[in-house]
Amino acid sequence: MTETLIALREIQKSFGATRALDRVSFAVARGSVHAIVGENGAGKSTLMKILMGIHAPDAGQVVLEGRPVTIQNPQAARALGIDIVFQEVVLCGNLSLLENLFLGREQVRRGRMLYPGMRRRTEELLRTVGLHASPDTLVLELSVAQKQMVQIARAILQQPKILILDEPTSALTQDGVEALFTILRRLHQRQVTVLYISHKLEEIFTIADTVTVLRDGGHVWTGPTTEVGPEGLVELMVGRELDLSHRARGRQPGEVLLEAQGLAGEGFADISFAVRAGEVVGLAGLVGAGRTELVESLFGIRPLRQGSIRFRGREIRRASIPDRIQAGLGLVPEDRQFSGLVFSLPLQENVCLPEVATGKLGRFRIARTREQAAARAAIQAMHIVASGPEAEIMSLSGGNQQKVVIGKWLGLRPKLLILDDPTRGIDVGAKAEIHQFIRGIAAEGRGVLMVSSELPELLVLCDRILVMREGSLTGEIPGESATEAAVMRLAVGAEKSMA
Amino acid sequence: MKPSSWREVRQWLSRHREWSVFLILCLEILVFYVLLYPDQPGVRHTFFNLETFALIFRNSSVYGIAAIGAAMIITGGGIDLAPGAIIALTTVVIGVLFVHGGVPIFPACLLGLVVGILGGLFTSFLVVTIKLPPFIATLGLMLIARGLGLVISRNEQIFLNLPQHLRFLGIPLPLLPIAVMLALMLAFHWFMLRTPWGRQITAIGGNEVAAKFSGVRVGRIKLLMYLLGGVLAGLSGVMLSAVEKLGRFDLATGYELDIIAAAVVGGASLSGGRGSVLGAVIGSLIFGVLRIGLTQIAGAANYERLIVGIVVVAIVIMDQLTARKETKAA
Repeated sequence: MTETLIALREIQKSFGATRALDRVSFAVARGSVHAIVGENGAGKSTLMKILMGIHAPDAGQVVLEGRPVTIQNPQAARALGIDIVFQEVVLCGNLSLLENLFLGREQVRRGRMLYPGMRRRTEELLRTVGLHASPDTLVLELSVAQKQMVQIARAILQQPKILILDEPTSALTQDGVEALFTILRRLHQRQVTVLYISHKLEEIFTIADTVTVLRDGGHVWTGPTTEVGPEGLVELMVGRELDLSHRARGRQPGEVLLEAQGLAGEGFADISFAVRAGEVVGLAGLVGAGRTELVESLFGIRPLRQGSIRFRGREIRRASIPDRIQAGLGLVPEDRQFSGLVFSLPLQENVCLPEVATGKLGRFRIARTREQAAARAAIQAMHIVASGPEAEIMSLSGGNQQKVVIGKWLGLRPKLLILDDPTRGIDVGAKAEIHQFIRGIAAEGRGVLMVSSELPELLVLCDRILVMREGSLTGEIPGESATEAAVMRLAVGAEKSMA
Repeated sequence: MKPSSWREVRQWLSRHREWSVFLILCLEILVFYVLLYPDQPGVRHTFFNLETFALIFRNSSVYGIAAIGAAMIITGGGIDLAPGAIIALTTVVIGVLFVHGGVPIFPACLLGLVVGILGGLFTSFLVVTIKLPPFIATLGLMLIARGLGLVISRNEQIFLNLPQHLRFLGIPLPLLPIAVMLALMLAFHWFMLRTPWGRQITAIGGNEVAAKFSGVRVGRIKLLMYLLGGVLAGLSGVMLSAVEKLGRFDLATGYELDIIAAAVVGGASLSGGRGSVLGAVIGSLIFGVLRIGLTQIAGAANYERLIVGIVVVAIVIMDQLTARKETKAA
C-alpha cells in the first residue's frame, strides 16, 4: 500500500553561484498527504518548480511510477498528472472566474465555446472550494484569499494525480483553511497524492501523514508525522531552538496616535477605535470582514465615505498618501509583489525609496554613502539574506522580499506602522524576526496596527485585538485575556451557536 | 578581474548596456571604414575623416537631444510620440519670429523653447490630471503641433539667414548642437542616477503602485518628467533651426520613432523602470553613422530604414533573451 508515486533521486540545481538543491532524494507514497517544510531558501519552491517543469535539474532524476521522466514545461507536467497551486496569485485579473478556470483548456466544439457546461463545472468547483461568487465575477474584484481559492479550483479542475500546494493557506482564514482541508480529504479519498508546502506546523500535523524537512538545499529527514513533534520539526528545519511563545508584556500605552471615528467606506461601516503610542493593536476577522479595506482607507489608498481620522491630533482624512507618510504613517501592504516592490530597482534603492521620496536622503542629490549605510542597516536589522545592497529583488526569496517591504520603514521611523498580513507565506525564522521588529517598534514608544489571519501570532504580539465581522467592529479583546476561541467567537458571530 | 569565459563577458555587457552599445558603435564605424576604404592609395577616406564625423555628430544631435528625453520618459513608464512635431513647430516659431517679426536670433530661440515647455505642460495635463494613457495624449499633441505648424507657417518654408560666424557662449554654430547634446547627456545622466527626482521617475516606471505607497508624489514627478521632455524636444528644434537654417512645419517627420528606437537601443525598456541616457545618445549616434555612411555608398541610401528596423528588432530580441535568462536564474 505504500507504493511510491514519485521519487526524487540526487536532484541538484544551482543558479549561478547559489546551490539551491544539493543531492536531494526522497520518495512520495501514492495517496499520501506529504508535507514539505523548511526555512526560506531551503529549496522547497525550487524543488516544486522542477516537478512542474519550470526549471530543469542540473543533475539527478525524477522518477514517476517507476519510470524516470523529463519534464520540459508546465504543460508536460500537467500531461503527466502533476499540477500546482502557487503561493503568489497568477490569475488574469481582467478575466472572469469562469474564464480563468478554463484558460487554456476551454471546452470547445467546432470552434464554439461550450459555456453552459463550463459554467456548471465552474459553479460546482466554486462550491467545492467554498467560494461564494458568481462565475462572471472579474478576478481583480476578489480579495487575495478569494483569488487563492480560485487557483485551487483551477488546479483540481483536471483531477491531477499529484497536486502540489505551495503555502496554500497563507492567504486564507479559518473558514478557508477548513474548506481546503475538506477538499484535501476528498482528494485523499480519491487516491490523489498531495504535496503540501507550508510553514504552519499545526496544519501539517492536522492534514499530513508524511513530512520531509529541507534545510539549506539539502534533505534532512523524511518520515511519518507521527514520529516527530512540532518542536522536533522546528529544530530539524532550523538547526536551533526557537521560542515563539513570548507573550506581550503589558506596557503602559502613551498618547493617542490614531483616532478613528465613525469610519465608513466600501466594505465597512461605523468603525471607531484608537491606537496609542507603545501599543500593538491587532485586527482580526474572517476573509471578507473588511480589514484590508479599512486599513487601505486609513492609509489613503481607498476613499472614505464618512467619518474622521485624526493622526496625532490632526485630521488626515483628506490628506494624500505622501502627506500621510510625511506625517508619520507607514504601510506594509498585503500584496507585496504588486504594491510593495519595484523590481527594476536593486534592494538598496527599494529599501530607501520612502526616504528618497520624502527628501530625507538629500533634496537635490542622493547622498550615496548615507543611502548605502541605511540599506546595510536595514539588511542587518531585518536579517535579509541577499548577495548585498545591490542585489536584484528578483533574486530574493519571498520571505526576504517581504523583509525588504517592511525594512522600507526602518529609516523613516513612522509613528504608526500599519501592517497587512506581514508574515503571510514566511518561514518560522523570518517570522520570529519580524515579530521582534514589531515588538521593537512598540518598545520605542511608537504604534503598530496589524491585520493578521493567524490567531497565534495575534495572541503573542498584541496588546489589544480588534475583531471585525462583515464590515463592522464586533469587539475588542485585551491581550492578556485573549484566546483563540474568544477571537473566533467575535469573528464568526454569536449567531453561529444558535444554528 | 579577468573574465574566464565568453559567457562572463556577455553577462557583464548585458548589465552595462552603455558599453555594449558603444561597442556596437565602434564595430559599425569599423564596418564603414572597411567598406569605404579608398581603392587607390593616397586618396582621402571619404568616411573616416573629421568633416564626416562632425556631420554625423551634428546630424545625430537633433535626434540625440530628444532621445535623452525619450529615455527618461520611457524609464518613467510613459511614452512620447510628439517630439518630431514639437521640433518642427519650434523651427516654424523661430523662423516666424526671426524673419517676419524681427526678433533677434537668441530671444527667438528662447521663445522657440517655450513651444517645448507648453507641449510638455499639455502632455502632463492630459496624463496626470485627465489620466489619459501617454500614448493617446502625445499622439494628440503630435497632431495638434503639426497642425499649428502648418497654420503658423502658412505652408511656406522660412529661410533663416544667420551670420556665418555666429557664436553662442564662444562655441561656433556648426559645433553647437554637438556641445549641447554632450552637455545635456552628462546633465541628465546625473539627473537620472543621482537625484531624488530621477530615482522616483525610475521607481514610477518600475511599479507605480509601489512607488505611490512609498511616498512618491507620482503626479508631480510625472509633470516634471513630461515638462523636461518637452524642453528637450524644444531644444532639439532650436538645434535643427541652427543646422538647417530653416523653418518648416513638415521637418522632423517620423523623428519620434527614430528617437524612441535610439532610446530602446540604448537600454530603455518599454515596460518601464529601465533606461539609460548615455545609451540613448550612443544609440542616436549609431543611427547617425548609419544614415551618413549609407549615403556614401552608391545606391544604398534606400536601405537606411530597413537596416534601422532590423537593428532595433535585433537588439530588442537580445534584450528579451538576456532578461529571460536572468528571471530563470532567480
